[in-house]
Amino acid sequence: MKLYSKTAAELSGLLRKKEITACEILDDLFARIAAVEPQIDAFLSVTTDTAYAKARAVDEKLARAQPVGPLAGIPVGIKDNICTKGLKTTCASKMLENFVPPYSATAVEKLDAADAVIPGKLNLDEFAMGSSCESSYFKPTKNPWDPARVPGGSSGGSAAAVAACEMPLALGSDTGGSVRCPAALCGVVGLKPTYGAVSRFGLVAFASSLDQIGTFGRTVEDTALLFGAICGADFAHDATGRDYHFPGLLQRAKGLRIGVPREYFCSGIDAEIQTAVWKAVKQLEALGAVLLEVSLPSTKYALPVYKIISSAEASSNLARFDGIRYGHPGRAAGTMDELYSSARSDGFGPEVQRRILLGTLALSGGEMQKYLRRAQGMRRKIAQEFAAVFCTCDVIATPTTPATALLLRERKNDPAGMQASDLCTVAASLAGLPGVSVPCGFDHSGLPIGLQMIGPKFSEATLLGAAKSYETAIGGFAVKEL
Amino acid sequence: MKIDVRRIAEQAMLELPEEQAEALEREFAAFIEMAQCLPEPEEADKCFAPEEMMLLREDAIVLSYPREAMLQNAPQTSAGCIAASKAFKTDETGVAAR
Repeated sequence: MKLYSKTAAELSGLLRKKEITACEILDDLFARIAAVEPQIDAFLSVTTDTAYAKARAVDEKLARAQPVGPLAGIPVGIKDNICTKGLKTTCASKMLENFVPPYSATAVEKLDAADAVIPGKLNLDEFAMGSSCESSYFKPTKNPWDPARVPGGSSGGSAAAVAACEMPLALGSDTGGSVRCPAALCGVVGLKPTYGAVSRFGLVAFASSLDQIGTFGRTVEDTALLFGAICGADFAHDATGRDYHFPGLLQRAKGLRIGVPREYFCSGIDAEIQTAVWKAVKQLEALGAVLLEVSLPSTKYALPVYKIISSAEASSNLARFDGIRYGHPGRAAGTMDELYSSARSDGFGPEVQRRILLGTLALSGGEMQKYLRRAQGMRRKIAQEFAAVFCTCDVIATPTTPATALLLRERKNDPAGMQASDLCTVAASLAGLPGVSVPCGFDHSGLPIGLQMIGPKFSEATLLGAAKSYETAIGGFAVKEL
Repeated sequence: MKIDVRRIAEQAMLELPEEQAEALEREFAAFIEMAQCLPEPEEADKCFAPEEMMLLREDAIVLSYPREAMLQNAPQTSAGCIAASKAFKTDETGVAAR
């Protein structure tokens, strides 16, 4: 039985019927990882001992007919910018190469409470800053659909591991598209929840008003299962916006009002992608959904606004890395400032340093204050435009990415061009809205294309329900054979 | 708008090799040009929306993490404290300088 190819829901069913054990799932998954990881490079660390300890504990509970959590025995990979107590959390950076957190993120604690098993930590762009998973200090991850291509980023390891059947589920993080974009490029489902639905405590901060932990799966049901386990108020930390309890999928296509914004079907988006996304929404229309042409006129400002706000917040958040309390130490030097600068210049990669410098510029006051105010004001306008559209629509449908997966190193020296990959996703991030990417076809090279659906705040039930309706209509999503 | 790239690098606590300064100036110029294209916000867009507040934790005293746990990632420790270079050195006149 190829357990690695089964969904989390299927594995859960087999476990509860005692047809398999949690340890057997791990045996199969670790064999799978050993077989394909040389091609994919999704993992930064594989944590065999702790994973088997948890799996044995779950098997014992099941054997004694004791209650177990909703993810009992299910392996979940964790993006390596999410703290795991006692396990290295590197953010794919030399700065944190040997950092072992003394605490786990709230999302990880919730996974433990749900009896999930954590087999390893997954690769990312350094400090979640990137769209290709190439800026990792350790190695680039490859796309399972074509290992000469990028998996997308920054949660490239998470998306690739799920697509390659190394994990049924994975956590990622999404600031401007870092769950949705790699999900689209790797042909899996990726959810960025409403800002504030999942605690950010223990997620190493990039841009605090945008960051959100998200979920990956090969099916909508699996992605929703993982989201349900990690959402909800975190009363111990100021990191959630509402005590949101996910009620499950509200699967409904008939009468679903789908807004299609004209600004997302323009010359900047590959024609094949536009065609595939249109075909997908038409399939929903055939099931009884109602398509409405809408407009989000401030969409053209979303990427500049995101660049200004995210870099300003990154500059502020990464100021804590000084090589003294933790992190890469500075060179022995004369002054404290020289110690700080050498630690940071040696510890951070070029893309991280670039964003810190741009963010410091944005926060430098004087004339720049005017531009920061404009960015904040435009952010509010973008949010208001979405809110106005949601008065007449239940969800909005767009492409997830403007292009399919690039070749490795194709844009390595063009960071601004690389950031343009987030063209379709940043607006929802700025507005704090939930967005899900589902596979909706392939381009002429056989590379996956993603359909993004965006909903109002805390509408994950309807949003994922719409995604499930589409998945059911097309008979499920293709899985890459490796 | 003229930007002092060395001053920005200093504020960012990052070294700036001489050969990278010109490229950084161009990067900054492009960033400012991008920012200049944003329109001025309307009055309504300047306000903070109260419904977007985070749930705040109770303002109660709680135990912090154990000292050993906090020290385990420090590159250097001494006598149960995080060690760092001295903050001041003296210049040739004997005056302390950062």
